[in-house]
Amino acid sequence: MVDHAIQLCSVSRRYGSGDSAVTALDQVSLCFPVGTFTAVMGPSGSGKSSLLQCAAGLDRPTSGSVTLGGVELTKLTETRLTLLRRERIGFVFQTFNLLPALTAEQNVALPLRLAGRRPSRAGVREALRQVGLGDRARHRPHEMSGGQQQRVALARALITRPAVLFADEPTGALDSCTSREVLGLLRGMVDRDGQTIVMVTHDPVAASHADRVVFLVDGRVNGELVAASADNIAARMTKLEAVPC
Amino acid sequence: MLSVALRTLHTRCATFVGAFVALSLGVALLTVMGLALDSSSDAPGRKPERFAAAPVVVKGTDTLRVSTPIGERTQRLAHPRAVPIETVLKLKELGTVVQDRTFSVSAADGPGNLVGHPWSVAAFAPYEITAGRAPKTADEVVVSGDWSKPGERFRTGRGTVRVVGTVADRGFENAVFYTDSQAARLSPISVQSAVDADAAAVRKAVRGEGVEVLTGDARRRADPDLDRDREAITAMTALFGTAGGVSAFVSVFVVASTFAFTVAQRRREFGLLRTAGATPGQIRRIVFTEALVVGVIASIAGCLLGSYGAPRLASWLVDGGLAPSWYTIGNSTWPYHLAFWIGLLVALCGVVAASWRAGRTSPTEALHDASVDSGVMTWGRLLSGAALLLTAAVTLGMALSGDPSELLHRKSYVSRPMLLITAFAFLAPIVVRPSIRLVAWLPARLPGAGGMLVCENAAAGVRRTAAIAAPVLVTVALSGSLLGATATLNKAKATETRTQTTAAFVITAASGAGFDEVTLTRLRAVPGVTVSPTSSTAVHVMEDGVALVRSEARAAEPGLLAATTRLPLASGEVSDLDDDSIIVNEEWQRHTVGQRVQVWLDDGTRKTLRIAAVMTTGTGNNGAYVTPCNAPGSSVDRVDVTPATGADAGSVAAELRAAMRDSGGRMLTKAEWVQATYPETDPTTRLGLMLVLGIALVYTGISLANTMVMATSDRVRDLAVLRLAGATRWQALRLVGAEALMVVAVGAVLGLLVAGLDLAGMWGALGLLSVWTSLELPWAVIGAAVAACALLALVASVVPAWFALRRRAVESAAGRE
Repeated sequence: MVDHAIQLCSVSRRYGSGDSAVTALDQVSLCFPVGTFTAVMGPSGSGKSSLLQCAAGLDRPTSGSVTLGGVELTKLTETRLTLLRRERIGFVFQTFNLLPALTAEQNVALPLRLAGRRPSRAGVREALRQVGLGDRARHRPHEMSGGQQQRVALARALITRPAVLFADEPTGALDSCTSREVLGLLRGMVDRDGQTIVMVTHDPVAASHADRVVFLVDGRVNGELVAASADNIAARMTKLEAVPC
Repeated sequence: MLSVALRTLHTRCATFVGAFVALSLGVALLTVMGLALDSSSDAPGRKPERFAAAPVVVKGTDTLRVSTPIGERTQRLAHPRAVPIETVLKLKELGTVVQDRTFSVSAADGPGNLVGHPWSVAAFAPYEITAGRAPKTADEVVVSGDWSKPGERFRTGRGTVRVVGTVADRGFENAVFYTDSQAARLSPISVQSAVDADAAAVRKAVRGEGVEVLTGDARRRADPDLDRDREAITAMTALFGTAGGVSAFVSVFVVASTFAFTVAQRRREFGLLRTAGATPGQIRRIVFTEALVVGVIASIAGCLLGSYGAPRLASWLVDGGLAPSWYTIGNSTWPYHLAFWIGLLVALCGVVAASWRAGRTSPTEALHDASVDSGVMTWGRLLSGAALLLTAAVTLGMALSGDPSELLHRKSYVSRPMLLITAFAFLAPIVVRPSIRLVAWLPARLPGAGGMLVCENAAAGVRRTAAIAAPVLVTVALSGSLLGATATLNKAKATETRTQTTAAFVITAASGAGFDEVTLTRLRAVPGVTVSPTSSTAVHVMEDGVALVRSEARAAEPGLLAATTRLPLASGEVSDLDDDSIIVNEEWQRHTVGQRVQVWLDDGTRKTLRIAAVMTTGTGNNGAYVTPCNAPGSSVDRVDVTPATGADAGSVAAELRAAMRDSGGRMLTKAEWVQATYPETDPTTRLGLMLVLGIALVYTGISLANTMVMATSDRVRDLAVLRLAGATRWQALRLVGAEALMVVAVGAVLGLLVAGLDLAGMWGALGLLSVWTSLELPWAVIGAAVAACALLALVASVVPAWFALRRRAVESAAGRE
C-alpha cells in the first residue's frame, strides 16, 4: 500500500453565490503518492490553481475532504491549519514570492522565524547554495532576476523540509534557459531527497519533467499520463482543448 | 516578528509618514494644551498693587458665605459691604487709619476709565509726586499719568476741578486724587481701610465684626482687577480643554484611517506572510508592532515640538491680551507624560481595527493583484455609525422635550456636532457612492469621456473616495456647526434685545461709572418723555439646597419699566413688582407667581421676596428684576427713554442730549442700541473655535495628502491602461484632478448637510424657547475651508500622478512592482 502524501476526496470549490456562482472544482478525487513529482495540467479556467490551493490548505473547499499524512485539513481551525502548513507544506507562486523588504537570506529564514525558532546561518546558507545562490544571500529581491527570485522562493519553501512542495506555474514567468534550471532543481530534489512535488503548469516541456501528469478540464479530472514525453503531453492537451462544451 | 516589522517600516517608511505626522502633531497639540492648562491653574501669588506699602488692610466682606449640608458655598459680591464706622473708630485707637474710597470720574477729555480716590491712599501704592503738590481744597486734584498738567482744569460730572499735581502712572489704574474730605463727600461709603498698626492687634480688635484683615500678599484682594484675571484664566482653560479634546478626536480619526489604508495596501504582503506560515495572530502582532514603533517615535517628536511651541503660544496670548501679563509656561512634566501616553494609546487604538482585518487576510490574497474594493463597509463601521446616529437623534429628542435651553450651552453645541460628524464619517462609504452619482450625474451625460470616467472611477474606488470625502466632511461640518451655532445664538440674542426694548432712546453711562442724581434730575425734567433709569445688580439664590447661584439682575421702578421695556413674561405682570417682590425667569428653581423665594442681595443681606412675575427663558441669562431698594450700592448705568405719543423725536433727542451733556454718557436710538449690543463672540471663544477649525483643517490636509499619495500608487496601472486606450498624459492628469475636485465637492455637500442637521436642532430648541430667528451659516469660513481642501486635494492627487505617469504606459500596465 503506497503511502499517500496528500489525498483529496470529492473536493468541490464554488466561488460566489446565486447566479454569479463559479464552480472551480467539481467533486475531484485525487491521490499524490510520497516521493513523486506530479504535474497538473489543463486549459485556462480548468481549476488547476484552485486544486493546488485546496490541496495545500491555502483555501477551504466548499465540500469534500483533504487529508495530509493522515490529518484532515478541512477540520482544522485557521491557526492550527497555519501551524500544520508551516511544518509540512511548502508553496511557490508564479510571481511575488518574496517580501521586498527582506534579503534573500531573511526571506528563506522566514518560515523558521515565524515558528519562533532561531534559524542557523549555516542551514540557511546551505539551502541557498543548494539552489545555486550561495553568493546572493544579502541581496534584496529587486536586485535579482526573475529566475533567481524563483530559486530563492524554492529555498524558502524547502527550508522546513515539508512533506509536500506545491508549485503554481513556477516557470511561467521565466525564459527557457532559466526554466530548465529550475525544473532541473525540482527533479533533483525528488530523485535525491525523495521530496513529493505537485506542480501546476500549462507548459508541456515543464510537465515532461514530472513522473505523472494529471489533466483537469472544467473542474474535473480528465485522465492522466505517466512518464510521457513533451510531444505526447502537448498532443493530449490539444485534444482536451478541442472537447465540445 | 519585531525584526520583520522593523524591516518593513524601514523599507516602507513613506507609507507611514502620514500616520507619523498626524500623530506627532496631535501629541504636540496635547503637550501645548497640557502645559497651558498647567500654567493657568497655577497662577502665581500676585503682589499687591494699590496697598503695597500699607501694613494692614481691613476690608468689608465681599464674599457671600452660605452653609449647606455639604459644606460652605461662596459667591463674590459685586458690591461689598462697607467697613462699619464703629470698627473704624476701634481701629483708630490702634494706629493711623485711612479710609479708601473708589468712585468713577468722568472727564470730558481724559481717559475713559478714570477712578477717584482720597489723596491719603496714594501713599500706600506708593505714588510719588512728580510735579506740583498735593490737593488742599475741594476743587483741587492730583492725577496719575501724563494726560494733564498742573494748572489745567477739566470738567467732571460733578463740577470743574483744577489739577495741582501729577504722580507717576503705576500701570494698574488711571487715578484722580481728591482731598480726603471731598472724596468722602463724593463717595460716602468706604469698603476698605488701610491701617498702620500691628496685624495681630488689628485682628483681635475686629474679631466678629464681619470684616477681613489682609496682610502680606493677601492685600492683593484689595485691588480692583482680581476678577478680570480669574475670568481670563477660566476662559483660557475652557479654550485649551476644548482644543485638546478636538485634536485628540481628530487625530484618532486620521491615524485610524491611515493605518486602515496601509493595511489594505499591503494585502499581498500579508498574504505572502500567511503562505510562509504566519498565523493570523502573528500578522496582527506585526501590524501592532509597527504601530507601536511609529507611535513611540511620533510621540517623542510631538513632545519635543510641543515644548518648543508652548512658550511661543504663551507670549502670543499675552501680547494679544487674552491672557494676564504674568502668564508664562511653567516647568511641570505631567503634560509631557500625559501627551506621550495618550499618543501611544491613540496609535494603538487606531490600529486595532486595521490589525484585525490584517489578520483575516487569507494566503491567497498574495495572488490577487486587482484593486478590489469590496469590504470597505464592514459590519463594525455600519453598527458604530448607526449607533452614533441613533444616540444623536435620541439625545436631541430628549433635550428638546425636556430642557431645550441645554442645547444652547457651549459644552453642548461644541460636543453634539462631534456625534453627528463621527456617525457620518463612519457611514461615509454608504453615503458617498449615491452622492457621487448624484453630483456627477450631469457631467457624466456630457459628450467626451471625462465626466463618465470621473464618475465611474470615483464610484468604484469607494475606499479611496470615502477616505477623501470624510476629512472634507469633518472640516466643513465642524466649521458650519461651531461657527454657525455661535452666529445663530448671537442673532437670537439680538432678536431678543430688539423685541424687549420698546424705548426710543437708550442712554448708557461711561463704562464703570454711573449717572449721578444731578444728571437724572435733569433727564427727568425733560418734558414729554418717560424716563426709566435702571442699574445692574445681582441676587444670589440657593438651588437644590446645595448650590449657590448668582443671577444678574436689574433694578428698576416697575411703572417706568413697563413703559420702556416689553419683558417676555410667561406669567404675572410687570406692574406687580414692588419692594417686597422680584421678577424671576423660568430657569430659577422656584418660578411660580406668588411663591416666596429666599435670596441674598448684592451686599449679602438675606431677604425673602415674593415672585411677582416670571420671564421666559429665551436664550438664557435673562436675569431678574428688583426695585432699587433691593439693590443696595448699585448706581444707575442705563436710562431708557420713551417719548410720549405725539412728541417730536428730534426735539426730544436734542433736549435729552442737553440734559446729559456733562455726564459722559452716550445716547443711542433703539436701532443703534441693538447694533451696539449685538453679541460679539468674545475673543477667547473666537480664538478657540478658530483653533479647533485650524486643527481640523491641518488634519484634513495630512489625511488627504496621505490618502492621495498611497492611492495613486494603486492607480498607476489603471492610468496606464487609460493611456494605452488613447488618452494623453495631460488628459490622464486632468482626469485625476477632476476626480479629486468632485470628491471634495461631495464631501463639502455632505458636510453642509451635517452642519444643517446640527443647527436645525438648535433652531428647534430656540423655537421651543419662543425665540424665532433664522439660521446663520458662516458662508465665508465654509467657503474658505472648502477652497483650502480643494487645493490640497488637487495638489495631492496631481503631483504623485504626474510622477507615476512619467514611466512608459506598457511598463506600468504590466504591473511590475
